[in-house]
Amino acid sequence: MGYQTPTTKKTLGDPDGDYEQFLYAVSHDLQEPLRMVNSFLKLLDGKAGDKLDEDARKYLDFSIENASRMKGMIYSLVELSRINRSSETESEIDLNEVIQDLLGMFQTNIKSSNAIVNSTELPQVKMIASQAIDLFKILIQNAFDNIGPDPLELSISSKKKKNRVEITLTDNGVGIKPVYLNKVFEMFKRTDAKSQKLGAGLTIAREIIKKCEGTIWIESELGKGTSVIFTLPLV
Amino acid sequence: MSYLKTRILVVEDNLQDFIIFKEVLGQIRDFFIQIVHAESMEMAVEKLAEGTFDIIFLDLFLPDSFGKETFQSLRPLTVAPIVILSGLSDKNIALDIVKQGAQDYIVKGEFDANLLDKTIIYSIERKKYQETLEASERRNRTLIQSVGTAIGEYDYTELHNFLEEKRQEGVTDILKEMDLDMEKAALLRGKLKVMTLNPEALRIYGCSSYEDFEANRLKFYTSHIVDYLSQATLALWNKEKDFAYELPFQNKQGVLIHTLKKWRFLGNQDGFYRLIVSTQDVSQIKAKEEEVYLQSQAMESVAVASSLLLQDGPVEKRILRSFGMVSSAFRASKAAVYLLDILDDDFNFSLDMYWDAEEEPFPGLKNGSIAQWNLLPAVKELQTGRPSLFSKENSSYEIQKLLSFHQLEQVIAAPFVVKGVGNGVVIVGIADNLPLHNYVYSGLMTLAGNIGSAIATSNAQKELKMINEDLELRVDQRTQKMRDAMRELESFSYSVSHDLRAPLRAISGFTEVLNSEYNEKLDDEGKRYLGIIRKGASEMSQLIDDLLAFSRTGRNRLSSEKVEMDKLVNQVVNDLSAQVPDRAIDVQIGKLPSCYGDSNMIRQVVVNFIWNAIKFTSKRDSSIIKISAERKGDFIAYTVEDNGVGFNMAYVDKIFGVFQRLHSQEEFEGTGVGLAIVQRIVTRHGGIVIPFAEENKGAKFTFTLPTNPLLIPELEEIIPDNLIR
Repeated sequence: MGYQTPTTKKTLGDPDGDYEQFLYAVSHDLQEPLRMVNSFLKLLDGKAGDKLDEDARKYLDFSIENASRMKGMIYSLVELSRINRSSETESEIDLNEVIQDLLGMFQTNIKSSNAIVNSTELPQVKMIASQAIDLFKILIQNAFDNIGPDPLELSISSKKKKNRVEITLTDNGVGIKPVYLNKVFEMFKRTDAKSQKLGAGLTIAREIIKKCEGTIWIESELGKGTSVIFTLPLV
Repeated sequence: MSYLKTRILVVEDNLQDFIIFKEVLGQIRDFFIQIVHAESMEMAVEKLAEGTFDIIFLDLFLPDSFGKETFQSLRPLTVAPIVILSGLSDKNIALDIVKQGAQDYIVKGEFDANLLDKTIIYSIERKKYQETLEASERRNRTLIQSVGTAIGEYDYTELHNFLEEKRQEGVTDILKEMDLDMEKAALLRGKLKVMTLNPEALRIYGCSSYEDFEANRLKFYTSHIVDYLSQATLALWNKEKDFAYELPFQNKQGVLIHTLKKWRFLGNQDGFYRLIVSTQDVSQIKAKEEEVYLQSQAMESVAVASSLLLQDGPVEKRILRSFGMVSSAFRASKAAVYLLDILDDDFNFSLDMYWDAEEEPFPGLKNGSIAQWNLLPAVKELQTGRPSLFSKENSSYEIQKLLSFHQLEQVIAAPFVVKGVGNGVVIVGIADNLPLHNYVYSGLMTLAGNIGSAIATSNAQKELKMINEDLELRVDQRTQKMRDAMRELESFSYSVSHDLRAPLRAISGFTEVLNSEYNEKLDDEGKRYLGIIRKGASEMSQLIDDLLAFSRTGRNRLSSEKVEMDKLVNQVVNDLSAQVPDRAIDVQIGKLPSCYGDSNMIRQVVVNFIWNAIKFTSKRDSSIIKISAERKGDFIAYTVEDNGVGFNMAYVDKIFGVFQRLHSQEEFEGTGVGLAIVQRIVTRHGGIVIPFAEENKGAKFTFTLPTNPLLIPELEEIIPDNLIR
């Protein structure tokens, strides 16, 4: 159950149109005043920062922190809205290459946390290249963000099902409480309220998979680890 | 190379963005800069006319111009390099525009002095080598076609003396005394001696020389000459210095020309009474006025026809009635609708209708009319989705034959889409060969689109079941999916708006404390910065509140009760006028029948329309708001009309969008969410909203609400639900 792939023609009362419009409204119309707030907070900081006492400094810092958090949230919404508006076309993607590239990117994290990442041979899929990278980057980043007491062990495997492939990423991280399982895909929902993360990654991941007409779900046991499972169209 | 005195034009409607830009620019000490600010396209055009610039920074979204258009309309006006000022979300557009010739783009809030410095220097450099070429191109483009003014110089001594004699005789009513007719007017005209005529004057009269003009003078007179000369004489009699008259006349070649005549009596100069007459050819202006009038008539008739299409009753009848409504605007004498079978590439017509101005109002469905109206070849050429014109000049022999057979000169064919069913085409036949204005095409496109929707939502679907056995199933699934998506969207927008509020609350709260407790520690500039920050924060929270209100509109369950509209409207008018005590608003309320629906939500609709009318008439000396109603089948169509700034109908599809604003925040306050909410509420009641407006003349919104609670689509779902509980 979800949003349909948007058609090119938007009519009134069309949920896809409204959805896009909502994202556009939030990302565009909020961006302007936010940019203002951000820029002037910085100017104020530079101008008056040293004249303020400790309390006032703290208030200014909190404001700056929250404004940049908001900027991050809105940026995620822009990202989300770009998924369906992308003008790139689908191509044949070798997922093994995608994983190799990403492991290069995560090298520092892997080394510093003694993580082990195992990937079995993955098939070629049909999707937009940049979205394939985004998708796996989000999921790998998630695994690193939720490391448990032991060093991270992440395995990536696949299973062919007719003309689709089911891909599973399993980690040995902190896991998710069953009550949160339904919530994790919702925008800006975090399982830990104190977390600095925005809680947008899985929403964006789901949107990318929806665009490929696939499905995504999560199986998890608290304290033992999490599996993210999703389907993608084969070439 | 020196960049001394670099002149920079910054086109940016947002004052604060401009201030930031200026602040950052101020940090570039290397060169002396002069910054000129324009807040709108109109201002930018003015500034460009006043002087040249070395570089232009351009925001694409201005109050009077949007997106690529902004760049495209500014580009021809200058040779200076243009750098796009882009928001994060317009990056793609900005990139596109760089491909079209902008020198570069920078993202607002993400540039520093260094980057700006480089951007300026590189853009100017890059642009320089093209400059010579572009300058010469520009000169060609801006060659202005001037409207010529014809001047004639006359000696009116004789007429002057004649009038003075009459005055001596004690005549009081000179017009009665003279009692002009065509013959006497010609004589009177003889009393004006032509001294000189300039070439433009000769051109207007269609004469080659002064002698030619004198010889043909009497031919130019039409019956208007009597009134013209009477009024001119009266002006002179009353000792007025100037006299103006709109005079239509026929030139030597028999062409009717509309002119504006301006007389100036200069009195006795150099021994004779001198009169200067300027003649301006206003035929083109007249034609334009005529076109604008026809266009507004056409758009109104399309709007009415579209509302007819959305009423109840058999779809064939509704379509035929809509043709009757627009026929005069389109000068149509025949019209037909064909539905094409989506499964069959061979254009198998499964539903066709036929309308003829000559026959009785509704001839109804004519079977086999395709044979009569055989425009199959025309239909086959319809690949593009836009209306195409088939006239005797531009068509194949086959079509020419068909046109002759139907006594038509030209035919426009507009395709449409019937959602989930297939495609169709509307064909309109016109018996004359006069040129067709753009509004005919656009109006027809709108009508065709609405015909498509009417067919899609009508019982015609049942007839079309033969085409596709599982159509109904698909429609059901689609509706279900729509509902699910709608629900999901609502909860998505609700929770996102909600989540965005948390950090915003923190910003507002902390800056509030800074403002109240540390204000005296800040210098004036610091205070100003804090002020801007707080304004930005409150703007954001207003936007988010509106967004929450919008998503709630879809979430709250509808109730249904009788709504006494006359009471409601009077109450709302009183409440709202009390909020603008210093304005004189003339509110004219007609008879308003009651309807059924959720009284709280309907109140919101009424408040919205009336408040908009009050808001958008604020620049008028006298605001007039008319509220009326008309029964349309099982619905009441309520109309709120104002004489405010209106809007351009080209942007009509934008007005219902969340946050879409056609006027700038500075001009008229508001976040733009209102109409989106109104649209949602009316649609949930099974009604429609029909907007109509003319720029700078006013806006008119008609919305329909049911007279019977059973017509509210959702109640069907709700009733069984209630029974279960």
